[in-house]
Amino acid sequence: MHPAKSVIFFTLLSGLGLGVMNIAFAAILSGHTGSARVGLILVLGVFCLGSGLVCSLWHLGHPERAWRALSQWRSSWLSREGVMACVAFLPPLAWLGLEYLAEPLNRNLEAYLAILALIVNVVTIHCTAMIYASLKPIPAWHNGYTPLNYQLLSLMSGSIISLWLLNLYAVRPPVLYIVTALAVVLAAVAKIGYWRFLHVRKPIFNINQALGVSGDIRAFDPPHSAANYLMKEMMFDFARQRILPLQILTLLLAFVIPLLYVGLSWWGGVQFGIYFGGMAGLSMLVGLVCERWLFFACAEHSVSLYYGSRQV
Amino acid sequence: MTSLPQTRQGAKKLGLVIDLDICVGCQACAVSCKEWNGGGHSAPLTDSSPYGENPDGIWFNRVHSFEISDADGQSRLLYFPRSCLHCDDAPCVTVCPTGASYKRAEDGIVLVDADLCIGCKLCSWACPYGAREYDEDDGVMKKCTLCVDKIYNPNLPRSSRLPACVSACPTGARSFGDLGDADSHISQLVRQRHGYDLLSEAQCQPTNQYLPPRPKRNSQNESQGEEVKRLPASTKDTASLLKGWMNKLLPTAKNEA
Repeated sequence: MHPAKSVIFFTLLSGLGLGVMNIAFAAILSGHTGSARVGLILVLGVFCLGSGLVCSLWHLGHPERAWRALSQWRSSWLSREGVMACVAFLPPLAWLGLEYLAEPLNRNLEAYLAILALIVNVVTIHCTAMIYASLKPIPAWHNGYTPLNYQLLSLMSGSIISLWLLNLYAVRPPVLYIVTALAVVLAAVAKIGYWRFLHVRKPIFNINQALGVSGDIRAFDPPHSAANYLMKEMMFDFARQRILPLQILTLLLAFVIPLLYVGLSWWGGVQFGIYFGGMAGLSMLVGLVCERWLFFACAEHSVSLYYGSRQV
Repeated sequence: MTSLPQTRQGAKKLGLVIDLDICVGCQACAVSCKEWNGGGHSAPLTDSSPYGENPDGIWFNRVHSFEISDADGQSRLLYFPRSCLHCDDAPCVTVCPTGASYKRAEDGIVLVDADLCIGCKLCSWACPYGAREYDEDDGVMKKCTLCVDKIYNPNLPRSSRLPACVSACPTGARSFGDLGDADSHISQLVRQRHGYDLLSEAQCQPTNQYLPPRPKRNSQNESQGEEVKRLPASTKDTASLLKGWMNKLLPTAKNEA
């Protein structure tokens, strides 16, 4: 599948924003309330989610009609994701509004708001993942790894950025260090597991099924002399030798360097946490862009069976 | 509305039946479809750089060809027209977030409402057959309309109220009718010729049916007891090979089919 920049940045930023918000609401739930730091992290989360949604508009032929995409939540995961993303803005805006413009909530209500927000955010990430995982013609996405990886990468990216931000305020909660380290490790394991699955999985569709004819079949005359929308969108052509180097690069930038940062920041103190947090965050974001690119580029669509592939 | 319509058993399901045995790959269906839809429901069908180096454009019907080799090393060509199959369980309909992609309850035709479509392309990702294409110029998705503007058109004579591809096919490889009616002409055709769902593993319940190529006549399956003339073995000299070939080719009282 063609890796569109708009979709890469949409999934990356929205996952990051929701992950950051989850860390903030988890902090609120565990009592760290009434602080500007939590407010700042929520603002960052809202900003990232909003930017991600704006990025997704670039992918559209008619972005001015995008509001219509909220109407078919009964059948469409994309519509459900749109609705949930809009709902996901409400708890942080409610908390920020009440905290700074009105009376702060009492503890109980605040805890309920935080729980609601966490549930809404997890559901939103799931809906985003299901846009891709629900597509049967793309076996590389149509499996349980897709929703799992979206959740873990959101948690990982949100916690790394939150950790750095809190270091700027010299706040270094041990719980967050543990959660972040676990998130990075789990996300790395799940990602490696997904890549391994792609490598060993049995093909779901083959050319004989695609045509309904038995025998040894190969493509003969193409239906058109130059590439068309289907080929450009579903049959992204790139050198397969690039996959392994990009996977290694992703592991290093998105997982190893951030994990090193977590460890060294814990033992190195606040100065280390501040100065190297930016680099680790940037490394993670670049690594996640690589990961997104691979997610799209390595996915094959069943239409390629009509254009020369033997199996998908 | 992108929920699929509830239809009862025996409801009208208009669709095509494509005979892979007699399609000769002439591309008349592809061209006539392009021409009809240049002026109808989905007009215009964009072409970019049509006379340039890398022409690209929207076509609803594309004719592929494949070479099939069997176990004996015999080869044959298969011409394969590919267009929207107007599936019963159309994934392109349910994934649409705006309701632009819909399946008509009255005849099962799957269409795109170009006024609602936002061009997110998810329907083209969801379709296993590649039936939907994105129009760069209009910013919307386009697909085979089963010539909904031709089959019901009161300004055309009845004999013309067929999809353009069916009207154009010179070999009669394409048929149109109600596949929901078990007694219709094309339902009978599908039963006789063992028509099948394309890529049934994708579970889209396609309406369009494909008729398989008939087995090639060779010494393994001479059905009529008629001896099939084969070229003599290569141990013979060129003159007798040529004579044998000419004998086979030219109709005579003896070997006229």
